[in-house]
Order: sequence, then C-alpha cells, then structure tokens
Amino acid sequence: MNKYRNDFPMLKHDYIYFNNASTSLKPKIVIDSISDYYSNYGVNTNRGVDSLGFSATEKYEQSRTKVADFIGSNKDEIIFTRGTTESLNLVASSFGNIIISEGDEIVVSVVEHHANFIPWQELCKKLGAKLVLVPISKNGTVNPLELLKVMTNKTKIVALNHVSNVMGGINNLRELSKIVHKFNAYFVVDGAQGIIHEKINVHDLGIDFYAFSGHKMYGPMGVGILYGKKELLEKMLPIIFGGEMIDSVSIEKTTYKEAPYKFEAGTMMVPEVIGLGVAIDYIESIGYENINSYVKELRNYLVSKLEKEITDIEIYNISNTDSNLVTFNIKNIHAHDVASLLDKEKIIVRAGHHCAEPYMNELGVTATLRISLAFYNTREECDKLIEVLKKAGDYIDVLF
Amino acid sequence: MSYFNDEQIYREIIIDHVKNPRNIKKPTDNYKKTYLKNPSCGDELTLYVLFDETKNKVKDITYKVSGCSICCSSVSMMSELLIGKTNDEIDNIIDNFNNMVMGNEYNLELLGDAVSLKGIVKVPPRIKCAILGYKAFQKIVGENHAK
Repeated sequence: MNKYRNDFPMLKHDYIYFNNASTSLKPKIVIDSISDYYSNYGVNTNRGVDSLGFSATEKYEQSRTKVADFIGSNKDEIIFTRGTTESLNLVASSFGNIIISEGDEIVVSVVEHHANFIPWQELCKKLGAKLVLVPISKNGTVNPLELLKVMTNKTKIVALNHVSNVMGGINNLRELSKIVHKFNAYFVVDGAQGIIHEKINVHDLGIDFYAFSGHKMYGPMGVGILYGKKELLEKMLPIIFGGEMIDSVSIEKTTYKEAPYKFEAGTMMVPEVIGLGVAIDYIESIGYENINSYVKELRNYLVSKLEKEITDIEIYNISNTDSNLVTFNIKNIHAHDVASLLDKEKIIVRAGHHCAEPYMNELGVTATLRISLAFYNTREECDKLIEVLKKAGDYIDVLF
Repeated sequence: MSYFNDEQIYREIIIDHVKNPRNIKKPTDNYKKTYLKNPSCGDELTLYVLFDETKNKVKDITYKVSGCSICCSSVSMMSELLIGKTNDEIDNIIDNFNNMVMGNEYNLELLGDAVSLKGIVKVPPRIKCAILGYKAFQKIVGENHAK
C-alpha cells in the first residue's frame, strides 16, 4: 500500500496523520479535479442552454450516478448536501415532520454522534414524541435483540450509526433493518464512518435513509450525501426553498421538481460533487477489500504493540478488530495533554469527546484519545507513535 | 537565573498545581458562581468568587475543575493570584495574563506562578485551556454587574 502515499500531497509534509475518522486526506487527482473545474468549465449547473453549463451539469450528474452505484441505489435517490450532518437534519426536519405525531417514539443509541442524536432530540421536543435509547453492547454496537426489546407499535423511526466514530464497532444493518421494518418503522443510518469501512448495498439491506460525507472517503470537504428510498423522498417536502428546485412559480403557488432536485436549492457545491466522483473512482481503483484488509492488519499490529509496550494504557474498543479505530487513554494523564505531546512530535490524533458526549458520560470519562487509520498509514508510523506514548508522562514538555 | 533553571522551576510549579490544587474548599451560599466549558475539548469549570463589595475586592475564590493539566493548573494559579486583590488590580493582572499567552509584552512581576505557563504561546491550540479560569472570572464579574 506504500506506493499510494505519493498520491497524497499532504503526506509530503513531515506529519503522521492518524485522524482519518475526522477527515481523510485527499489524493491529488481529487484536488486537481476541483482546479480543473474552476479552470476549464467553472460555471453553474442546470441553468440555460450554454455548452459550458451543460458540461458542468453533466459532470455533476455523473457523480450522482457514481454515488448511486457505489451504495447500490438509483440516481434519483441520491441528494447532495453539505455533509452527513445536513443529510440527517434533512431527514429529521422533512421526513420526521410528516411521519412523527405526539406520543410516537424515535429510537437512537447512546453512542450516536451528536449529528444523529440532536436532530431527533429536537424533533421529539417539537412534536411531543419520545426519544428512546437502545442499550449498546460493550463494543459499542447495538445487539438486534436489544433493539427488539425497545421496539413498540409507537416506534416510527430508528436512527443508528453504521459504524461508531468512538468505538468502531460495526452494526449488523441487515438484522437491525429487519426488526425495524417488522414494526413498520423507518430505518435511518448514519454512514459517516461506515461508508469507508464496509461496502454496502442499501437496497439489499432495506435501509430507508443512509447519510454520509465525501470528505471522510478521500473526497472534498463540503459535500455530503443523503440516500433515501424513492417513495419516501417523493412524500417529503423541501426544507430549503429557492432557485433551481422549482417546477413552476406563480404569485399564488409554487410546485417543486421531483426528488432529488427539489432538495437541492440554489447554487450547489459543484466542484466538490465532481471531486467526490473522482474519489469514488480512486477507491475503486485500489479496491475496497484491499483497503480494508490492509487497515485491519495495521490496526492489529498497532493494538498488540500498544498493549505490550505502553503499560498505563486503557483501550476502550480492543475487541473491535475489524475497526480502523483505537480509542484509549493513558491512565492519570488527560487526553489533551497526551495529544499536545504527540502534536509536538508531529503526530496528529483526535482527543476529546468525539461529538459523543452522552457516550463519554457512560464510559465515565470526559475525553479520550483516538487513532484512526487509513490505508496510507504504515507500521513505521505506528512505531513512532509508540515511542512518543512511552514518554507520555513528560506532557509538560509542550510548554518548553 | 539561567533559562535552564527557569524551565526546571516552571515545570515544578505547574506539576505542583496539578497535583496540589490550591484553594479547594466547599463554598458557602454567599459566593457568586458561574459555569464555563470549552465545548471543543470538554474542559469544565465551576468557579466560585466571594466579593468584598465595600472594598471592591475579591475576598476568596474556589472552584471545581475537570480538564487537562494546563486548564487545571491555570485555575489553581489564578485563584492564588486574585484573592485579596482589588478589582482594578485584577483587571490589570488579567490583561497581562492575556498578553502573555498571546505573545505580547507583559509585566512578569504581576503574574506570580502563572508565569510558568508562558510557554503556552508556543501551543496556540491550548491557549483556550489556559484562559478558561480568567474567562470564567470575567463572566462572574459581568453577571454581578448586571444585577
């Protein structure tokens, strides 16, 4: 996998980047595609009859097809948004609004990212519905049997992560989906971490909504995706109104385009969407399986070294061997002190509550460190990390 | 004093405040109280200040803090520094502390143990940890004035 390191301009700097679950680095071909758009056909999409606009629109729509193929859906089921957060908010605000009534229940887990927690919390507050928490297993996943226990005939929506950004456990979407649908509820999946981790087919799994971001899969910042089942998208109303999403407008009344276009008001992030398509091509050129088997092997290498060589370590997700994450603390040293020390040695990790405060409370910690690996990371980088962690007690060094 | 010695002393001061935080006690009802958090990292502070209104002075400070070494040691140092000072003196101290962490000129004589944190200027992402206590103090003063 080392040969791919040259594809990433950021890796030419003297940093070790271990925060891939926050955002991945971008290969040069993705960066170049954005520059190519602005230099050669950088105009708006879907407007008028000019040939430049036609080229931009064509490329933009090609990305939609690539995304649809990538997750096993159809082109008209793919909405471009600003990111996973906006995608989930769109489901909550639009779909949630028509499906939820007073007294209904929405199920989430305590390990959800705030983006898949707060929109539902707010929706419940607004409509008088009840937010129900499904217990999670020690590895951070939802056992389908536990979901079964909290489902009732009032459950209308179940919103869970595909892969937790704290624990890295992979939820069994197929089993969970079956249970959700047995109760005639709808299954919303936060795929921000999962999309790069497990190849999925949303139709096959029967998922109603799947949200993810381009920037965690080697694509540009500022573009996210919401997959929604066609018949559900048809029922939903737009939440942002303006240009390009209309069918016709008169003083009395406006009608909207079909999905997905009715959800894409105004000027969209055209080069980012195009760059996302390039990122998907890039992933497929390396091979999904190749990426994941390499990362899994590297994670196992790292974890066994951490356990062996760092005496005061507490690893919270040790059993998630399929994950690219290692979430841990060094006993009696705050995560930020360790992270600053690592930063001084040019090793970038995440330290904090990972936008999952409810779960941090359950773990009984205020912050943890998190290493998240990508296929361009190496054993040598892991070794360097271990060397610095051995000196974690010298955290005051960052000030001198 | 050589730089090396300064560094040794500063390290020891910081570690000492982390291990033996000053002015920890149970506040009584007459303390003004505020809560502040660094949302990005989760450092949390509840600060309690007892004002001597007639003399425009701070009579006592205590706190509950959870966070990194810089946040915790800085609050402890601040409590030592501000207790017994007049409001004007405190304004001056806070200005100087802020100048120190931002890399501007400051008067070292005014800052007591808090000088040991001067290296924070080299770690910009952690400045927010060092100033949390001072921000909380100013928040209490603001809330107190508003009443």
